[in-house]
Amino acid sequence: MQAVMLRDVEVMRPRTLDEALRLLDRAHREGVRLRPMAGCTDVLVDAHFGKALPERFLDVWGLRKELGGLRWTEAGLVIGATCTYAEALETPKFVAELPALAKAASQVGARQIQARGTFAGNVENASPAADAAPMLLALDAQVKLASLQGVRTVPLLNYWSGYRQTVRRPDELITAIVVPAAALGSQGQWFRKVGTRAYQAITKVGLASRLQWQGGKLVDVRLAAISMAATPKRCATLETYLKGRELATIDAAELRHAQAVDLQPIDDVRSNATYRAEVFARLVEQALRETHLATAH
Amino acid sequence: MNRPLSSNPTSRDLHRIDVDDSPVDASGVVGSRHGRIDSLELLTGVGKYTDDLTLPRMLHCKILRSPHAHARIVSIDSSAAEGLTGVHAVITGADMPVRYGVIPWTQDEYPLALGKVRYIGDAVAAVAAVSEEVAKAALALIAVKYEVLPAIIDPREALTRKDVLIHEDNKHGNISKQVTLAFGDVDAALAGAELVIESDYEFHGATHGAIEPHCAMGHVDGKGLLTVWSTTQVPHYLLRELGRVLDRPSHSIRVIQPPVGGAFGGKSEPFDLEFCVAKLADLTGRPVKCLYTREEVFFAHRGRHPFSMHYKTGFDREGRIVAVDGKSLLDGGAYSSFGLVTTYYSGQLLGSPYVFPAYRFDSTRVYTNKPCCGPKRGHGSVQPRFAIEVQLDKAATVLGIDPIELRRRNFIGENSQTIGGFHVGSSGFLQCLSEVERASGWRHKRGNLPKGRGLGIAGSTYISGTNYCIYPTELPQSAVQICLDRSGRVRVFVGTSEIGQGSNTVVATLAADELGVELDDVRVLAADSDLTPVDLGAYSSRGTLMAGNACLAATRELAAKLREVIAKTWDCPPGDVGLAHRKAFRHSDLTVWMPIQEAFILAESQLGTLGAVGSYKTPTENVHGDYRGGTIGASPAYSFTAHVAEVEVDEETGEVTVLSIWCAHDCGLALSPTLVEGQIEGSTYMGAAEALMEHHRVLPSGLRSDGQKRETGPGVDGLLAASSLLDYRMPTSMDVPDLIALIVERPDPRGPRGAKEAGEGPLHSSIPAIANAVYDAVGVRIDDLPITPEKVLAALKRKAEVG
Repeated sequence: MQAVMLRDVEVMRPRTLDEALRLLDRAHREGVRLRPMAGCTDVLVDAHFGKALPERFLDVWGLRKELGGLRWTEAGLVIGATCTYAEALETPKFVAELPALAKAASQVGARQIQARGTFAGNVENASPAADAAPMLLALDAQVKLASLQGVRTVPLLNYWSGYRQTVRRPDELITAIVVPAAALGSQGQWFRKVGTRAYQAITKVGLASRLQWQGGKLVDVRLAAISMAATPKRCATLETYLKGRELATIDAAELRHAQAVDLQPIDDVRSNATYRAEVFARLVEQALRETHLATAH
Repeated sequence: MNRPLSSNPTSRDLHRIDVDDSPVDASGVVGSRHGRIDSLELLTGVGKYTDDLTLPRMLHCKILRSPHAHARIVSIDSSAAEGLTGVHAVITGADMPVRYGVIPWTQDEYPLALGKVRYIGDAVAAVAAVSEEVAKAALALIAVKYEVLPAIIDPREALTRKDVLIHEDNKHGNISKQVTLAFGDVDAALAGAELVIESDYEFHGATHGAIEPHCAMGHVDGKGLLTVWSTTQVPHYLLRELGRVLDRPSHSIRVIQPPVGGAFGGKSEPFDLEFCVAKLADLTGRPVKCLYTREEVFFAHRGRHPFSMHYKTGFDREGRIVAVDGKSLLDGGAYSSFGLVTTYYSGQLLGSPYVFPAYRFDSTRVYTNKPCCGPKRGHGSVQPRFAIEVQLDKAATVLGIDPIELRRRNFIGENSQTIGGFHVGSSGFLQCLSEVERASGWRHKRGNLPKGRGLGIAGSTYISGTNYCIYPTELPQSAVQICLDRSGRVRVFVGTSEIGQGSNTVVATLAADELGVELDDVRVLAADSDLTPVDLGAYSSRGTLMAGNACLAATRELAAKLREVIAKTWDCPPGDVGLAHRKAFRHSDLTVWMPIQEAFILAESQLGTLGAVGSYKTPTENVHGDYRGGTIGASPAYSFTAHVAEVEVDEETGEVTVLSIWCAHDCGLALSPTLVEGQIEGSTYMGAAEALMEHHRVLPSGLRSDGQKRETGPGVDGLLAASSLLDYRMPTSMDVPDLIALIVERPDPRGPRGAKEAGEGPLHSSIPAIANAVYDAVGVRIDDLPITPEKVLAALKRKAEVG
C-alpha cells in the first residue's frame, strides 16, 4: 500500500464563495478533478490508505463566514456547509429540536473528529456507514448546491446515486443542508448505532428514523438504514407496511419480510448479513416501542 | 538532637541535600505510594523515544513487503531503485543470508526473505535514502518476480496438506513443535470420574497494540563500533543475533534501548528493521533509521497464538478435579518465534493453582501463511487458562456448587508441587478468591441480579521469570552495578528494559529503601550494553524478581559498609544503624541521626569510592520436574490472581458490556503499590478487550478489508482483516469497565523482599471471568472467542429455539 505524498497535492484556498465557484468551473472546463474539502476528516483517511486522490483540492474551510453556522429560516434549519458537529452540538436549540441528529453527531468518530467534521462533508462522502447523513435522510433534509450556472436543491432521498456516489456535478459546491421546518421539533425522532465499539467506531448496523403516532396509529414513518445497503437507504416497503398500523398489529415476521424486500445486507469484516438483518429488525421494533411510549405520555 | 557531622574538611564546601529536622521515619520507600521515576520526563515530552533520535547525515530506511501469502521469489531487480536520486543503498535477502530466531533451536527467519516469502508483509528488500518519501518511491521501483504458491491459512489444513510446505527443510512437514506430556493415569481417572466435562474451545489471535511502533536506528562509528538504538524489550538477545547475522564480534556492537512506548511481548525478539538499519549503516557509512507504519506493526505481530482446544476434565462428587486431558492446536503463523516455548507453556503453566491428580496435554503448533505469532502478555497460558476456568464453571453448574467454593476445594496449597514437578512457594490464591468475593458483593448479588446481568469468577497463576534462560548458560540472568558518593545520590546501572512496566522504578525503590535515600536521589541508567551489566530482557515477568534480587545483593553490600562506618562513629553495633529517608539513625534511639549524605561522605572518605555489583542466578534446588521439558516454564516464584466480572448483555443486539470487574492479585509484596495497581488495571483491560473485542484476523479468502468480494485462490489469501487501529478494535476509554484493583501480599522467600510478578498474571483470569459472567447473565456459553454480539445473538436464538 503506497501512501500518497501530500506534498505533491495542490490545495486552493478561495477567499469567497464566488471565487470557489469560479475555480470549480475552471477546473471542470479544463477536465481537472478539484475536490472540495472542509474538515478533511475523510480526505486524510483516504490519503493514508493510499486511495487514488485528485491532484487538486478546494479548501472551503476559510469560507466559514459565508458557509458556516446554523440559521433558522422559514424554510427550516439551514446547516452551513462548513458547520461542524461540535458547533451544532454546542447550540442548545439544535439539540432540542433535532435530538436524534444530535445523538448521531455526538457518535461520529470522537471529539477531535467532531471538531473538524461537517454535516455537508458527511453527506458528500456518501458512506453507507455514515452517522449523521442517514438521520438527515430520515428528516427529509435537502442539499443546496451552487455553481456558476445557478443554485439548485436536491432532496437527500435522490442525492446518493450509488456506493460512494452523489449527483453533485464537478462544478458544483454544497453550500448548505436544509432540514425542513416541519421536521424541526417533530415527534418520534430516533437514532441508534450498533458499532464495533463505543466511540471511534464504524457502524455495523444502525437505524435513523422518524416515527409519528396519532391516536395510537403510526401516521408517518421514515426509516433510514445504516450499513445495510450501498448507501444510507430509506425502506419503502417496510414504511408502507408500517404506515397506519397500531403497535399491536405489527407482526414480527411480516416486518422482517417487508424489510427483506428493502434491504439485503452483506457479510464483511465488521459483521455478517444474518446479524445485520436481525438486529436491524430489532432496532425498528425498539424504535416503534420507544416512540410509541413517548407519545402515550 | 545530634547535629550533622561536618568536621570533614574535604567535604565542607559540598552542596548539601536539604534534610529537615523532623523525627526519623524508619519506614522505607518499599511499599510506599509513589509513581514512576521517569513519568515526568515522559509526560512533558522531554524523554526521547527511539524515533525522537536523529543523527547528522542520517538516512531513512523503508522495507518492501510481500503482497503474497506464499510465493517463491524468482528474481529481484533493484537497479531502477538504486538509480533514483537520493537512494544510497538497496539490500535484499542475499545480503544477509543467515537465519536468526530468538530460540537457538528453531532459527528459521532471514532478515529479508531469501528464496521464499511466507506471509503478506514478509520483508523482501530494504532501501536507505535521504528521506522516507524517497525511500518509499524507491520501493515502488524494485521489481520482484514471484511464483505464487498455494497458501495455508487454516491451521487444520496445515496438518493435513502434504503438498504445501511452508518450510521445506522442516523435518515434520508443517508442524513447528509438538509436545505431549502425561502425568498419572488420565484415562483411568476419567473413567472413574463422577462427572466429565468435555468441550471445544477456540481462542482467537490478538496483537499487542503498543502505541509506539517499532523503530530502530543504526550507526557504525569510525572505529567500527556498530550502535543500534531500538524499541526492543530484549537488547541482550538483539545484540547476540546482530552479531550472528552480521558476522560481527559482539564486542563491536552496542545496543541501546531508549524508553519504549509499550511492548507487551511484541518487541521481545529481533525484527527485520534492526538488521536492515545495521546493515545499511555499515554499507553507507551513515546513520540509518527505520520506523514501522502501523500496518507494519500488524504485520510484525508476534501476538497471541490462536488455539483450538479440546478439554476433558473429570470431577468427583464434591467438585474436585480428578483428571485433566487437554489437546491444543496452535496456529503459529509463518515462523517459529518463541513457538517452542509457547507449545510447552500451553500445558506446563496450567498445573496450578488447582491440584491435578492426573494430567495429560498434547499441543501441536503448526506453520501457516500468516503473520507470525509469539508471546503476548501471559504467553501461552492465557488460552488454556480460559478453557480450564470455563470447564470449572461448567462443572460447578452441573454439580450445584458455588464456583468460588469449587475453586477453593481444588487449591493446590502453599509450598506444594504441581503434578509436572514445579515447586509452588508462596500462594495467596485463597485470599485472592476471598477478596474478589467480598469486594464484588458476590454472595448477595449472585443469582439476584436483574435480567441480562450476571457475575463470573475465574482464577489463575503466572511465573516470575523462568528458571532457565532461552539459551543454555551458567551466567547470571540479571546483574546490577551501584555507585554512591559525596553527592548524596545513588546511581544504579542495570540491564533491564523499561517498557512502561516500571522496571526502573522497581530497582530504584529497592535501592532507595536499602540505602536510606529518597526515590529522587536514585538515578537509574538502564539497557545500554556498553554501560550496564547484562539482563536478559523484559519478558516472562522476570524483571522485579531477578533484577530486584541483583539490586538487593549490591545495595546490601553497600548498606553494610555504611552501617559499619556509622556504627564506629556512634560507637554502637552496626545492626543498630538504620538508613531511611535521607537519614542514618540509631534504631535504639531515634533522636540520634545524621543526614545520609554525611554518612556517604564519611564512608567515602574512609573507604574510598563506593560501589558494588550484584547479580542473580536462579535457584537450582526444588524448582522443576526431572524429565525432558520439565524445566520449561518453571519459575522461582508464582503469582496468583482471581477476577470477578459483572456483565450486562443486551439481548436485542447481543452486545456485552462489562459493568465492573474486580481483580485481586498476589504479587508477593508490592514494592510499588501504585505500579502494581497499574499493572492489574492494564492487564485486566487488555484481557477484557481480548474477551470481547480485539481480533488479529487473517482473511482466508473471498473478502477484502473494505468488505468487497473478490476472487479466491493462490495469491489472494492471507490479508489482514484489520490492519489499522480503526478496524482493530482496541477499547477506548469509553469501552472499559469500572475496575477495582486489589493487592494481595503473600511474600515469597525467593523474591526480593518477597516480591513476585505483577505484569502478566492479572490478565489471565479476566477472560474466563467475563465468559462465565455472560453465561450467568443469559444462559449461553460462548466457548469461541471473542464473544462478539454476532455470536451472542446467534447463541440466544439457538437457545430460544431449543427452548
